[in-house]
Amino acid sequence: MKTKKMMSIFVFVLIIFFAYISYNISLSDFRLSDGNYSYLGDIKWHRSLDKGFQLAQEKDLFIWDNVPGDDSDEIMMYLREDLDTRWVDNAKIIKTDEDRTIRIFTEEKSAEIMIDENKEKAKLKISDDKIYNLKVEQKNDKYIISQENKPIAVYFWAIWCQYCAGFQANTLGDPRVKKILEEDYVLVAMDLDIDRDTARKYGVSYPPYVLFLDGNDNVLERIPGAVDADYFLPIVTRVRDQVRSK
Amino acid sequence: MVTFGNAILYISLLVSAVALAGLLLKELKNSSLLTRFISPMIFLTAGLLTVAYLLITYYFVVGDFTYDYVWQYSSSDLPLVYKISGTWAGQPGTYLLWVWVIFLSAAWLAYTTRHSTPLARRTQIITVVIGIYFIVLTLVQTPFKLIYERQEVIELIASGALSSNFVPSDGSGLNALLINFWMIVHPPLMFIGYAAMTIPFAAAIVYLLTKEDGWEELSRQWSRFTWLFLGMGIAVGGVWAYVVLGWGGFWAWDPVETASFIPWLTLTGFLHAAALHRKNKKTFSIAAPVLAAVSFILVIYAAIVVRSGLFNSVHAFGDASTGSLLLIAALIVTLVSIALAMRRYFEEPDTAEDPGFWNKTNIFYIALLLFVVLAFISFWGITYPVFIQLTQGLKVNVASDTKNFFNVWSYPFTIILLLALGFGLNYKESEKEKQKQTLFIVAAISVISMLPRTENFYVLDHSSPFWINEPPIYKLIGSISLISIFPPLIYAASAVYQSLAGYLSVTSQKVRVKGIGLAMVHIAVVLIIFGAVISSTLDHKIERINIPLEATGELVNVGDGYGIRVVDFSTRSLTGGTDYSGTSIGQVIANPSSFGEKTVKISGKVTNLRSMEGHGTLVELTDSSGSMWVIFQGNITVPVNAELTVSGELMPGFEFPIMSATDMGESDITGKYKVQSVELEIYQNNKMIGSGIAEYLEGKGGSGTFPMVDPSISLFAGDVYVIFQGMGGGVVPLTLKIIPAINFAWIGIILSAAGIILIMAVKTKSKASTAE
Repeated sequence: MKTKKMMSIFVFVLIIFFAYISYNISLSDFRLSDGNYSYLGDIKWHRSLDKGFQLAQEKDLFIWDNVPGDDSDEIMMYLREDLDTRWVDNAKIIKTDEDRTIRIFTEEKSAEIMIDENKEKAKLKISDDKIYNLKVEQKNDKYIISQENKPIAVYFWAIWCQYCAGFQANTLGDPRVKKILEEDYVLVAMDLDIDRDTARKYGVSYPPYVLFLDGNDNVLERIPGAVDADYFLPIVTRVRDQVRSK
Repeated sequence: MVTFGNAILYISLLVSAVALAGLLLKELKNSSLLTRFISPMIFLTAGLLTVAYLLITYYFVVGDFTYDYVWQYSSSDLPLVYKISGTWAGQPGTYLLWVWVIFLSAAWLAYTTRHSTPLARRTQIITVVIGIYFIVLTLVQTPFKLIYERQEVIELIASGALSSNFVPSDGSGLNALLINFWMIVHPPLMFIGYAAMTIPFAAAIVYLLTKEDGWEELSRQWSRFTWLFLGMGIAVGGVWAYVVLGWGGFWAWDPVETASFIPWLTLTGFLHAAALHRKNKKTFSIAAPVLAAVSFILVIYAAIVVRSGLFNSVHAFGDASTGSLLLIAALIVTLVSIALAMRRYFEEPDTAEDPGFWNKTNIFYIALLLFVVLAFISFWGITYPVFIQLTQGLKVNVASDTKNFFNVWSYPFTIILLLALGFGLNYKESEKEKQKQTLFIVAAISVISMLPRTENFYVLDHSSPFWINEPPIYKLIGSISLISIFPPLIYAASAVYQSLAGYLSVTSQKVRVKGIGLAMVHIAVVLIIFGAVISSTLDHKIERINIPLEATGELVNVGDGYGIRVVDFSTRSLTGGTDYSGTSIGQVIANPSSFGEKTVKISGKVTNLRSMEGHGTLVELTDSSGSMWVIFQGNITVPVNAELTVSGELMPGFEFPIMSATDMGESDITGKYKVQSVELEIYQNNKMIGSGIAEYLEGKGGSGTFPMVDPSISLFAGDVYVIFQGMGGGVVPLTLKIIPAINFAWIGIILSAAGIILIMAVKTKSKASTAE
């Protein structure tokens, strides 16, 4: 009798140990989505399509000459809210390089907005090597920096979808694809277990499925199924250029 | 309005309540007032539920779409057999099936025992209580709900868009994935298994309450029957996944399939506990009934997983309305079981001397614990992500790749279980020392064989993109070489052989047959594990093969020495014949005025074509109901016999209706079941290794792949398995897999079923009951 009791206690402890470990591993390593974002294929996706539309619009960001100064807050807001760069809260902002670069930095991190010599194009580079293209317009001697139109990539997935996992790892995770998606797209992930109505609205019936929209809710392209990176890449490139040229 | 079907359910509720009252009067007041009604009332309930089930089946067969459930899961173009299987395609139907089988069990119990013993009577009380609960569940989510009770329909009728007595012309149809043979058998097996678990549970609870003897004997056949049906249900689900869904194997650790596997594991534990308990009723006097109770609780849990909509699964039925009722039931049953087991535990005098670690009871106890551990791993893996989702609003995965979690944690315990099987099956006190020695040697070899580094033969697939993202502990266990499965497998197999030899030398026919049955079930374990491990690790896969349709008839090299020839490509509708969308032409011709000024859509085959010299083109379209001319602006060229769908308006003033086309497309038969099929030949080094047809079915809100499976006849050569993902852009997309050794798993499944049937066929009296 004693032996059995000991075995039972041993197994009980083992089970608790196993349950505790696996629970914590999931929370730390395998978070798929929280209130605002989904984390799929090592990419961060917005969970709200409305938010996606909002971010995809072309909009004026700031006037070059007003930074540092009146428009500094606008830059900070854009970085924080639209690009989810949280560290800018305590950052300093200066202009260097003969007024051609705006630097936003803290002790650890920095971001730079660079304008070219002819003041026609600008680029925003964030310390983790993400580059965003910005538009420059001249009005009454002032240079207005704005965000270009961005296409929205809506990824329909589901936790039980066997093909999604491979698609995320091989296609979305492909470095070329990932770079274009992260820099030039507004990314939204729709969970087919939750966002059923959205799926129905766009005629998406199974995962994985990627839908490309412009900021006005027009469907630009559809990629149903777990396609490979070689198929995916030309389409994301074409859709991006199509929206940009508008 | 109470529908006829619901009326039957209400009456059965009433009738079963009378039976329960009779049982309780006898039990509590020792009053025989209603005793003579008990059995007839239970028979009557079973009969009423039989009628109810036949009734819903009848509605499906005739296509009575005034019933919401029929409308949801059927349509008139389905073949008869799928109209029948539609009855268990959704939740309301499965509840009805479940409660029907519960009362059939109760009726059987009444018939065989006549409630002559207190044990039988008390078991019946619990069975009937559970049965009544399930009648209520069925009523809450009744299959006999009319379509007029549907919210959208109520609104449409209120707004005047629909007349109040409208009848849908067709149902919305069965999901394409459910249209195949395996769907016909999988759910009934499952739910009959679930329902049959009721009696072993009831008897176990009675035993925990009253220590009544004979409970094990009463529930013995039931638990084996449940084990058989549940096991076969799971196995058939596996076959279904393998031959139809193209999930890439027969087991994908999907929450729903896992959920049904958990009670099967604990029930297996129960059967082992019962085997010793029946010889000495002091052995496992708590473990055995607790395992029976746990199995029943887990059956309810499985139903919650399938039906609550909380669990994210391929089996997405999502409807929470009865989920909470099931949850309440599971909670009550759990609390009652825990309380009773605790009481028994503290009552039981712990006087027996400790005979040391090495004895048969302890070996069996280890086996029980292993079943519980394996069940818990599966339970936890499907449960805690949902728990996190509900409590923290986060969605998490259990591992980088879901199946890795289950494989990693289950593997070590499977090894130990196999060792316990090898050791315990022939355990003899007299040969204990020798047997221990063998065990230690095998265990040592197993541990050593975990170490060799091979190309990629590990618990986790090292070439998978998920491998690098797994946490250290998963990588550690995942790096165990799968060679380590072989020593325990061989050990277990030889133990089964020895045990069989032992049984065969016995003169008693009964004992011999039982021994054969036992050997079959246990060798099945070895075969299934072997087949599962080999087929999932040593398969060869070539993905993303795209064969242009022009290459039909040519042998296309797809790499690795394999070649595929597309012999033929064709499209058909599921029910045969061609179904066209839009209004039937006959209907338009019969009453053209009713279509005046409205856009009409018709489809048909081009049977005649006439150019009108600058005034457009006249095309005659024909469907099964008639022919009609359609005029197109400008010159168009369509081949005769092409299928067209045209929208347009009827032109007034012609003797025969003529339509002026405004829009045209290729004939689409969306909304109908369309099957694309490719006939294939697969070559390896220019030798044909397999041939067959792979199909892709789409329609009614979904699509399904029906892979070509050319099973190998020999054991080790692989199945040739080709998934066809549906035509796109003139290309036939295929995935080719060569899956070895899967036949071991199928043979194992068949053996385990046959084995348990043999065991059931032999009626042995337990020592406990003969002693009485």
